[in-house]
Amino acid sequence: MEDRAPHRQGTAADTPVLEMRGVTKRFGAVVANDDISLSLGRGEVLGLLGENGAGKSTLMKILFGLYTADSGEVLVDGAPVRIASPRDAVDLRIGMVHQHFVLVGPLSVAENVVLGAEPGAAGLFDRGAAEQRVADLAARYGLAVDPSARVGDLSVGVQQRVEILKALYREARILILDEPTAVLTPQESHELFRVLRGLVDQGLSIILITHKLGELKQAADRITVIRDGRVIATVPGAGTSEGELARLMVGREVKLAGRRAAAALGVTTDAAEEPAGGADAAGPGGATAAGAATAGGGATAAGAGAAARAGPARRGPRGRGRRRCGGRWRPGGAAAGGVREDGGERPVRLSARGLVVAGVGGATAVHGVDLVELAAALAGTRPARAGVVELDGQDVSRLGAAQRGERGLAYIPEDRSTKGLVRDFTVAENMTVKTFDEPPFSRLGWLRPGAIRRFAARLVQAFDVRPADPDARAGSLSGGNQQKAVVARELTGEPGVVIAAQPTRGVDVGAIEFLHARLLAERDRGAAILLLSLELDEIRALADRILVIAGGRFVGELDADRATDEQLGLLMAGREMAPVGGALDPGDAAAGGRGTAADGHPPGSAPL
Amino acid sequence: MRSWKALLAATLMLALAACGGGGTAEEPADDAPAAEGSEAAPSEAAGGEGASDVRAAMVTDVGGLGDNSFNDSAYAGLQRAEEELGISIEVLESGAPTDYVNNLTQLAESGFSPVFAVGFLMTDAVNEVAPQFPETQFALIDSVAEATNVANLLFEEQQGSYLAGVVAGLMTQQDTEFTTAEAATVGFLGGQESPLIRKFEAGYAAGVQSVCPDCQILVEYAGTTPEAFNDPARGQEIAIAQNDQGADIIYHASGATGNGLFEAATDRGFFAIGVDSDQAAIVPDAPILTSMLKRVDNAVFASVEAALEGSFPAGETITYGLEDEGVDLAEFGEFSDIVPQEVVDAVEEARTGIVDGTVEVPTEPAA
Amino acid sequence: MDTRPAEAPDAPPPPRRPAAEVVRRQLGAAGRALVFPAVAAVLAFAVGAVVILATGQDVGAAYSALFRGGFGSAGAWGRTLLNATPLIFTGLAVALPFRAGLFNIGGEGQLYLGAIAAVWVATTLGGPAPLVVIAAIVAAGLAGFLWGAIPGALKGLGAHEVITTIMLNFIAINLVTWLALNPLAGASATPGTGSVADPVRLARLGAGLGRAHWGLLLGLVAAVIAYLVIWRTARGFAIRAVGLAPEAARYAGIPVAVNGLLAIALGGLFAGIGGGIEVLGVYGRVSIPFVANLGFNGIGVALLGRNHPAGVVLGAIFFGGLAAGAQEMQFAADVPLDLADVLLAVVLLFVTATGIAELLIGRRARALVDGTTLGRGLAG
Repeated sequence: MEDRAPHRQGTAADTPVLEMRGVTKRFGAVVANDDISLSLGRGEVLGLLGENGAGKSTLMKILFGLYTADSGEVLVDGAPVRIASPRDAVDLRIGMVHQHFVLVGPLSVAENVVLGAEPGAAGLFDRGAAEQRVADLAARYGLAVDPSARVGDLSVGVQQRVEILKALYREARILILDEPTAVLTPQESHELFRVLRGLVDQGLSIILITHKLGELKQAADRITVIRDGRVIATVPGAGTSEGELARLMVGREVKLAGRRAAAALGVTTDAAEEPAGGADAAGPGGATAAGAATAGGGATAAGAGAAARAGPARRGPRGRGRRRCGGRWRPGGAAAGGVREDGGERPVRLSARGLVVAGVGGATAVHGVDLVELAAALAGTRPARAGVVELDGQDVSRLGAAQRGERGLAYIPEDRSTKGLVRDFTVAENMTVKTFDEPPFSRLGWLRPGAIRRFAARLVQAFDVRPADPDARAGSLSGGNQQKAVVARELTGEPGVVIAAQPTRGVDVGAIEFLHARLLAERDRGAAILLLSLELDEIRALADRILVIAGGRFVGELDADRATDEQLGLLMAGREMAPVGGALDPGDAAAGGRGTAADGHPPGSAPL
Repeated sequence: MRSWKALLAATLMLALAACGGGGTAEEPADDAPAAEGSEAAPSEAAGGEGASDVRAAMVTDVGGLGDNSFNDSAYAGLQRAEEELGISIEVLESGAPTDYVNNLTQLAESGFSPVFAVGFLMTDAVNEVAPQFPETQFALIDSVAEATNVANLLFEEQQGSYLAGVVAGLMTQQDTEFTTAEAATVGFLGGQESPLIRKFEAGYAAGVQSVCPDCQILVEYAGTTPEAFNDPARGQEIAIAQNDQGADIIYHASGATGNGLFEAATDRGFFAIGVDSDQAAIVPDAPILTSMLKRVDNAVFASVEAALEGSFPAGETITYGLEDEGVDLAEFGEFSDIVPQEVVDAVEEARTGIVDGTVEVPTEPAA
Repeated sequence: MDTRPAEAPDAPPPPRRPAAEVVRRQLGAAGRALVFPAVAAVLAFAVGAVVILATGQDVGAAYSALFRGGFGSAGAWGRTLLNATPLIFTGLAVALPFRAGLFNIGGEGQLYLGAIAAVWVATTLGGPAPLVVIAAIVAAGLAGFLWGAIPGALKGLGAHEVITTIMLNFIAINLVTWLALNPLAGASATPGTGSVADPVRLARLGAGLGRAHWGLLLGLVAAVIAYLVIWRTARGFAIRAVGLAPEAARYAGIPVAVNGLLAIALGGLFAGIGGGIEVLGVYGRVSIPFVANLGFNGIGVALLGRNHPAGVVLGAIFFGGLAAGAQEMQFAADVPLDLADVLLAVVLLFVTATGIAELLIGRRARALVDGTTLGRGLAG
């Protein structure tokens, strides 16, 4: 396939620093990469855009020597090369920053950077030399890192810099970054792009893999779009609209702003709520949405948004249709998850007089552990150390996940492949993994495979899971389809409350669109949705209220319509602000400070 | 495999214990061929034209060949019969207990006779197979079966132990590299405490007493389960404790547990006395003064000879003792320079006494 | 042996034939599952041939004797099935807990306890013989079940089941030894329990199958039951979920510890019944030492059978046939019995060392190992 894209004037040398020609890779009958050609000029940032499963990662693994292409060739500086292992790639000065960092937590930054290529003589490690070299390197490329810091203590953004330093230490001049902003705050992402620009100015070439359209437009000189293993187009970064990119990536028109229309139906403030009201307090029409965002330990940011809506919802719990469950999750002032993390306990008490209460424990964790802990404590998969979780006015703190589920709590865990699905089960089995022991799926202890398959086939169709085969192995589905399967299962039976933890992480645009629509439809049906997400865009698209948690504490609440990125970013960085909309009970917030002073977070923290 | 040996040793001894009481032995010298046959040239009777018609075979128990114990010993006897008596032989190993019946059946169906079942573990199998092949002669070693076409071959371990006791009782009064004259103390290390092992103890104690009435005899058993035959650590512990109390010669009847004794004897420089086979040859580094031998090979050879002569002791229980070299004492080997002639003489005297009946060897230790 | 997998055809399935589709899928899966053991067996026999040649024997004669002794006649089949019967049970004892992600090394001890329990009931209980037999088998299963429940419960407390089942083997073997030599000691010339009366023994199958007894049919029934439990009951669903993805199971509200406990206890149940059937069908008593290694060989049988009940039956017959054939081989071709052990060891080596097979039959092997798709390469 010829590369028709115009090179950006002035930056690309005549000979591309890297070129892939006609690369094809098959796995069995599936063609992951089909005759892919692309080129990377010197001092260029090339965006690689594609949905999950489009073949981006496969292509990059070929480039990094993790896979071998079936056909096609790779050229570096115009000369064909053979990359049979990551070592070959490193020798060719190709560096890769993986989406999931490959760092040794207990070691220092310098030790991590030089690991495998340690300075020193006769097998002795020269720590001083290592730290000096890393410091020099960091200074040269403008990456602010303390070489002697322990990596496990660093925020995600800084850890990412360590990964970049690792590549630079090995003299990489071609840098591949796989979904680098997936875990960053807007500020951190911004900082990352500044760093990348600096690297490019010093002559490096960068391939940026992402499915986020906005940032790609911002950072990439050219963008190569891959779909179904083929190169669809290569377009300039500037001058191509997000809508155009989305269309290229998905192959059809995509509606990106899904929220407004749907949200407009039901968002009001929670005027009808009584302080200690029961399930009946809010009528079907009364609807409120709230969101929560968290940020762990200063620079490590995590966002959580919650869209919640109150109102009794009829719940046919898991096909039994036996009890009514108010769509309200009402912890009577407190839901607390004091969850241990890093050996420390930081009980947090969060409250909203409205409809959503979130509690979080945990601290300076990476990858949004705060969110994970919060969701697990609320859903009951991990017991809270203290506090109360109420569902529909009933204390469910002592109930397990299954019982909370029967009471109308649906939970979409943050990690579909290890928590949401049994990968080696079929789709049908996964659809019934919470209900297999109930009629009609089993009778007298015997499974009824027919009933299970019919049920699954229906869900597969309703949620557009592809392939539409209930007998397919769940693990063989793409990320987006796996997530659709999880969501299909969880939303069955009209749950009163839906906890959705990072429901669209690593999912392609088409699936995101679908999942968002389903969540909003649930809200409109009358369910309360608590969305916990690291994606600020997603929170802004869905949430009616946004709660922000930082440093293990509840620091503020924003009205989704009025919140600015700057406000959110500051909150996520740990700045506290006065509550907006009055839903945050100051007393509870103060109580939330209990026990945190010892951790260096005085209850009365910096004003906004 | 190693653990098997211990278990086999254990079970073998238990088997003997069980039969020891009801000794049905009827004048062993009577049908059993004379002991001299073993050392002499091929017997005329056997060398005749009928010899090649006899096909003798044996089935090992799960210990298999290479066990350095009675399976190997029985096979040695069979091989000697092949060489000296001109018969053809076959050996089948058993991989599992279910193979006993299969192997015995196969050999009987193929016309082998006599068929030796080695080890008491095969008692049930012999009881099952032998009645189905009344024309076949079976021999069961170390146990007793009911069928009338089975010869049961047992051994008088207490007699050999008596000789070991004589050696121990005299040598502990000597000043040598390994013994001191002062503390006239000897030790006995038993495996699983049971009538059988007490038979060893009784013979040994009687032997010591006969030459050294003032000697102190320390007796210790490694345990009460078959595992006690496979516990070298416990054996070493006991040996060290006995040595601390002055014992400078320790005799063991404890299977693999005895390896602990050899270890201790090597480290601390005192004498050990082995059991079953010439253990000095198997553990050359240890100061093993001598060993009480159980000559399964002789019993097998004698039985083949009897079969050739038409006097196979079917339906009988033969007990092999000193007289017919069923049990014996090993050569002193590398220690023959240390051992005074008077000790050698005393052993011969005791042997003669036992064989002619003037020395009575108990099968239970004095209370 | 067929080394080429029965591959699932790539042709699209006919649109509306679910039954045929299911059958085809299952046959395909079975075919793929057999590839590894078959390749392993062929390799093992090649290695064995080298060993035989090295000892100066005739390979052809040895292997023909091996086959004749294992499968060449009704009598040979009888010996093979006699050997295989307890291994079916001990193989299931490994396979079922394996589905819950647990490795039960405790089959040996569970079998011992089942054996002693069966003898105790069969020698003390009066009444009609068939009822006594049933009671004895139930007692054997119960003993194994309870003994298996111990490591299951300890697992919930954080003790790894491999360690605990191994340790419990020692305890069980010594406990049974003590029971057989003391309270249950019989009057026999050889140490052990008394013998079970003839009417309470399991009858032989007849049909020229030698000593093979009705326990074999019970073994086949047990395999079918194991299959149904694993794949057709809600409990089996829970056990498989726990085994495949404990975290996901926990998130789905399936109690991991309880199902693990139950799975390993059910494994113990099978091993216990195996012990009971072995004494009722073959020995009539527990002699000391008792039949060793049936439990441990069950691990090999399960590995060979890919922890599938049908595979366990085939694996047990393979083990049993090899043992029976080896007897014929040493008799007819003077090849030492140990060769059978070598063959088994090499087979298991190749079955478990999937990397070797991958080298030999290529990357496709990886899909065959877990019988799944190639999704791993496509993520991204």
